[in-house]
Amino acid sequence: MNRLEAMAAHKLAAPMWVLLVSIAAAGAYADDASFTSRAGVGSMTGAEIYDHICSGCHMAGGQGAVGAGSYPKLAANQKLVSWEYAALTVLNGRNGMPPFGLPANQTMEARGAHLSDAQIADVVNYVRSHFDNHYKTEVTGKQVAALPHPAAALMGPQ
Amino acid sequence: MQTALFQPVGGMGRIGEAFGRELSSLIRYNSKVTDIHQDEHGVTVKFVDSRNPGTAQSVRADWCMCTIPLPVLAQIPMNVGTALAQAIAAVPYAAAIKVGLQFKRRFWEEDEDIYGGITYTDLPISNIGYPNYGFQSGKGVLLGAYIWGLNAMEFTAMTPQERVQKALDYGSQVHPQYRKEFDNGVAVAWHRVPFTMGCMGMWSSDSREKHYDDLCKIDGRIVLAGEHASFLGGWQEGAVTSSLDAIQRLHQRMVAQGAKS
Repeated sequence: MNRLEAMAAHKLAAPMWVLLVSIAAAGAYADDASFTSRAGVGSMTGAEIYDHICSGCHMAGGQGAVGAGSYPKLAANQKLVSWEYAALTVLNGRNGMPPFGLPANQTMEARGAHLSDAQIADVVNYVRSHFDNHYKTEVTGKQVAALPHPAAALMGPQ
Repeated sequence: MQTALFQPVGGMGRIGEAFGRELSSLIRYNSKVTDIHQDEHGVTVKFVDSRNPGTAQSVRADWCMCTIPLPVLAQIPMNVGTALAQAIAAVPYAAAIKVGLQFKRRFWEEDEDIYGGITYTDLPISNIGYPNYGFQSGKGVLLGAYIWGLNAMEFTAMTPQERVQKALDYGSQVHPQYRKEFDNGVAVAWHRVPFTMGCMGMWSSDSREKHYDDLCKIDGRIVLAGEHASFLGGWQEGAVTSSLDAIQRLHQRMVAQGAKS
């Protein structure tokens, strides 16, 4: 049991008998397009990243959502005129949004997901050319690599 | 041999409910804060009734202890110093998912002799938690998924019905009885909870160093409290100890400024 699982177990409280079952091997859900394995993250395209990750908050079609606060509407969003703004947001997070530019070996601790510079470019290009956004410039991974990245792993309960 | 651990009858949520019961005359529910403004003499908080948002209302007090989760607070206009404002915007919130699955009978007890505990898997559902109470009592509710990280984000992007269906699909690889015995289900994705917009604050050693003291410091007449303003992130204990600490510091400040102790 790694540390994360130990914490999760504690959080569930009071396991009287703990049963450990090892299920299948890695890739057990490789045939289910709904989920991405840790090994499969690196091959997600911009569209897949949007559907699997971003749309959880920014919603289908980039429509955004409103509660006590709001998730910005990405559809026809004029802030996207700056690809740097979009890429910096995905890399470093913003106002509670998790950063996706953490080093890959730190995502367990951060309970997050790592996207490569090329993937961040890809999802930025996707959002800037969909949902009634019509920006023509294509950003590259090299350009994203030149932006500031998050400094250190995030830590959960200690 | 395990350390004795206890849980409230009915679950951890009963602690918050008990606070609500004891403090009911002091709590105003359904109040969506729209603006927090302090001056030399006090703090004015504007809000709307979330069921009838047309009418702006406000309350004023000498001090404000604010427990609004940071992703929400970061979007509320509030006149505090740059250091606190930057700290509020510096804490990302983790994605987390729980799925509750109710079954017509407790097959894990009846068929498998499982009484409480957890099954860890390498499936997208991460793990299955069994109830530690109500043994042999007919229907039962399993924690059918408890997830962090990428798969939690992917579950968040689904409808509640899809989340329950996926928890059933994967859980039935462990317990084939799922299919026949399923009764009802519920799913929570913390990023979709309107009043928190995420499960809990995720600090890094770097952001702690840069922002933690500023987040906890009294700014004029405003002080923050909550799990995000503690070293016990994500735990009720962190929220409670944070509030006790903030209250103590506010008290000292008031006394130092001439209030009677």
